[in-house]
Amino acid sequence: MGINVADATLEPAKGEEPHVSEEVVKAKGVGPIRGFFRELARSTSGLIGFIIVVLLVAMTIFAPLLRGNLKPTTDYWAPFSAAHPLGTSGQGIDTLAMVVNGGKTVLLVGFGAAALTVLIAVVIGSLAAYFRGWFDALMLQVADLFMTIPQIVLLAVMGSLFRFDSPFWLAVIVGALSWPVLMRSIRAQVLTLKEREFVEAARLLDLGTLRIVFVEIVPNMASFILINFIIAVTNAIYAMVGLYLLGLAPLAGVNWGIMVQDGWTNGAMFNPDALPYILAPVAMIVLLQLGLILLTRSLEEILNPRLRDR
Amino acid sequence: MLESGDTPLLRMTHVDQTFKTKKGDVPAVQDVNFEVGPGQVLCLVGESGCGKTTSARMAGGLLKPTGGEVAYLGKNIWDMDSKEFIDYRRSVQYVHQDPYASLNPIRSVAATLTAPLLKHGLAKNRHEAWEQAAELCRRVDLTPPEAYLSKFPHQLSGGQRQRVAVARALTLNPKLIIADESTSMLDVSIRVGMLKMLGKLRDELNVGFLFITHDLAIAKYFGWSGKTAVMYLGKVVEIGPTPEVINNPQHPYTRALLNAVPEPDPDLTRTKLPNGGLRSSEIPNLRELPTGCTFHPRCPLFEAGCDKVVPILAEIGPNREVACHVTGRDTRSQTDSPTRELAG
Amino acid sequence: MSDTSVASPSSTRTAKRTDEPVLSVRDLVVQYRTGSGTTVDAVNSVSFDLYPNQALALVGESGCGKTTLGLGLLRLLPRLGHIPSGSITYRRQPGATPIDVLKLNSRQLRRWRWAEAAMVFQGAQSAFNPVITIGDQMADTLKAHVREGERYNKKEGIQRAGDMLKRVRLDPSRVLGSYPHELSGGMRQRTLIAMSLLLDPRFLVLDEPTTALDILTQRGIVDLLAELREERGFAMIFISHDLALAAELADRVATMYAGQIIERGSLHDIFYEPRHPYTSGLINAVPPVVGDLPELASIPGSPPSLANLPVGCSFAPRCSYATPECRAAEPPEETIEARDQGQSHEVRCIHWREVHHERKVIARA
Repeated sequence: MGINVADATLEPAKGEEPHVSEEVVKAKGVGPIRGFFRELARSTSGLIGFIIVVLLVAMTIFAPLLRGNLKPTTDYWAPFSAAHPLGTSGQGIDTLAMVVNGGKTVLLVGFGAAALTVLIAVVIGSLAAYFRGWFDALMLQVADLFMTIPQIVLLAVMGSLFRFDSPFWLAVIVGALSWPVLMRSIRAQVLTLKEREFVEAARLLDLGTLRIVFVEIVPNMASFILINFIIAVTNAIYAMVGLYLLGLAPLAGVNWGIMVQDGWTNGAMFNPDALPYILAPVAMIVLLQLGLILLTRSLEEILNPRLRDR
Repeated sequence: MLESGDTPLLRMTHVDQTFKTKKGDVPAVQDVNFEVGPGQVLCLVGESGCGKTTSARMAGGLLKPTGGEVAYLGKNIWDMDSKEFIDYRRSVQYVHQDPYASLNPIRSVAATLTAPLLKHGLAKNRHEAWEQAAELCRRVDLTPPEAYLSKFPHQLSGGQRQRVAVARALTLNPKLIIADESTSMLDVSIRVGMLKMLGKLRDELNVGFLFITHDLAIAKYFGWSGKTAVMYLGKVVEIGPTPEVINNPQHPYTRALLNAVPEPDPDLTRTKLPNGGLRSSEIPNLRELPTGCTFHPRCPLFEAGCDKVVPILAEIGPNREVACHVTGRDTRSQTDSPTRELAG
Repeated sequence: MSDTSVASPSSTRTAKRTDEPVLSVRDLVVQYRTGSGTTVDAVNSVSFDLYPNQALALVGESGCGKTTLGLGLLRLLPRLGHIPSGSITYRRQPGATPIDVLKLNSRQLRRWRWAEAAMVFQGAQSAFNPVITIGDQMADTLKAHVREGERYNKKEGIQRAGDMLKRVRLDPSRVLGSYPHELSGGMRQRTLIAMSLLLDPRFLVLDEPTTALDILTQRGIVDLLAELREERGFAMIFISHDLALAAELADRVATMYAGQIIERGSLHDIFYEPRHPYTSGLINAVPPVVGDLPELASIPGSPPSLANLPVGCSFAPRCSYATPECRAAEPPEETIEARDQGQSHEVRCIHWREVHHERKVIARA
């Protein structure tokens, strides 16, 4: 132990890295986007996550071309067959077609809600941190209030009161409820960023408050915001599936959430032929979430130099 | 104090700054007076904690004084209406110490320089703003401008970044630049180029400079034709034309500083007194300032009474003021009559 | 230690050239691996001798390799750095068995550091463990270096640490029980110097030990180092970008540029008759405080990237003396006549005869 301590004092201090390191960065000479993909390719899990997400998005976009027939037939709860590889639903609709087409709402609501969450969090968080004072205090109170309410319960209550009749409103409600945590971390980041001298320089040049906040400060958090956007997507999907499962979301149309809820309430669980009908959407949701989480983890490693150096 | 009857660009009158902290009040700046005119240089020198940066921040309108007045063109900046304040804000620019922190890492040089031009209507369109940005690059010797405009801060060296910071300060055609240790983080060979460039701005654009530095050699070089004020524990202890302050220092603290600075000449530098000739190297805490003259615990000229009475900054010759009981008395008695004749 | 009575820096310590050096460095190369798998030479075939009680200043702009050389001498290089070739030979005193520093294993190396060679870093804050008191850190250093068969005596250890702190003009009763953050910058730097001298090493590497300190504090450290060197007779390598500090502390100066020592000589040779245009340029860039106001000259351009050095003399692109020959081949090191007897003056410039160092005065005092 003694030796370690004595020796530790002889180690060169951090931040005294020799000057070559700067030159090395320059010598690499790779564009930011190509560099990003190169980094992503170096992490296997990140690449897998990225591919999963891209494939699921592509599947959803091209769903009508891949397997567009969603017409009910009289062939209820049909087992596996060449015509219906995953059997059919209780209404005689091809399960595979439902799975392929059912990602649209999930992805739209997930990304839409996440976009709204991030938007609210960034706007309120950065302005609160920049202005401080009463606005900051008020927003922190509001955020605390939102955070103390159990989200799924609030969603349930609101769902039963308003009966959101379209996925759009579902996205709005989910997004509007999940911003407080992100808002707090954005606020914390802006509090340190706004003390940086380049912000003072922008103030001295009288560039205007909104410009300083949203053009000078916020883009410096771009990677942090991107990672949190993806995390928000996963959270929004969980919240949405939960609402469907509880039957509190609009049950019109075809999507994975409705399939799970439908299977659950119509006793598909007790019918071995209907098993694919309930397992397939669950598998898709798990796959999507897995892809997103893998992607976030490597994005964190790529974009956060402190993690990268370990 | 100005040679002619002009209104100075910037005038600080009896300016105080006291920071309130949990452990008690910290008098960071007390009763500071100085002025800077167009094309003039005032160097503020002293050790860390002497109040030079706090004074500079008050001059730049970044900090409101707790007492006294900061005036731009004769008008207190904190009593200005918004139009006057905007004019002041644009005319007085600040160049920070650390070129690694003062440029936004995600903005290219062109974006940094064109933003204020477009925002304040100094350029009608992007093309014109680009042209002006290129001209500013040439001003600060970043040539050819095309090689720098599309670069990002991490692609530039420290000296190049600091030049971009100066170019940015020049975008709004300022009349006064406050340079807060702007050259202290640069390598010697790069520092000289930077100082020459700033000198050129003073001569060609008639920009006034409030130049903050801890390095007396830099103050001497940059401020030779201007004035230098030496600060100690929040107060100006000596002020006068730079050549006189540096070559004929009157306050014992100024003398100690000059004695402590190493010279790039082996034989000369080894003639200097150990410890700058001081009795103690401890810098007192601002919260518990010594009584009387705050320099007395370290002062080699300490006399009975120095620890009782606070010396005032008094004139000892043309344009020269010193706050010292001992040297102030000696020089005053020596120069009393000639000064009167000159003044009369 | 016998020469303590003489004040002039040049005459006394220079006579030691007949001794055997305490440190002898030959053709030392330090490489860094880069992210893309290539290597860069941060230090390129550096040779010099350091004699007992001598102070050598390593000067140059940032990125010239002076810190890397300092770290390399004590084998303290960061993970990506290594020494592929060259030699470092250490002798505790003239006549003693030489030690090949590059052949020491990690256990031997740990014993060698502190006891024989120590380093004082820039920014003393990070050199200390922030959660251990100064007293305990000093005791740990002593404990780690107890000789075989001896036991560490706690009382004696504290006594020794206290004496050393007193020697650097600190109050042991105050400092020993303090944590590093409770000390001022100047006090921390003094403490670090005390700690580095605790085991009486024969040479000390000081990397910008006074950067970030105030002028008067810096002055105190400089005076202290000069005193301690007289008293204890250690040799030191003083790394600095500030030529004025080198003028103050050193008796020999080596100028580094792009990983090489491009000129070395006695203090007087380097400051009054520099023969490399770069050394001359560096001196002309430093403003003096006392006396007339000289013209200052900047060196155009910036140091080259170590990963992409120009062919021939690496200073040629910035040099006003450069000719096509300079760009054709790397200049060899030439030995030229020194002003002081018993000293040597070496320069890597084919135009050294044409370099005349002078300062123009633009305003009289």
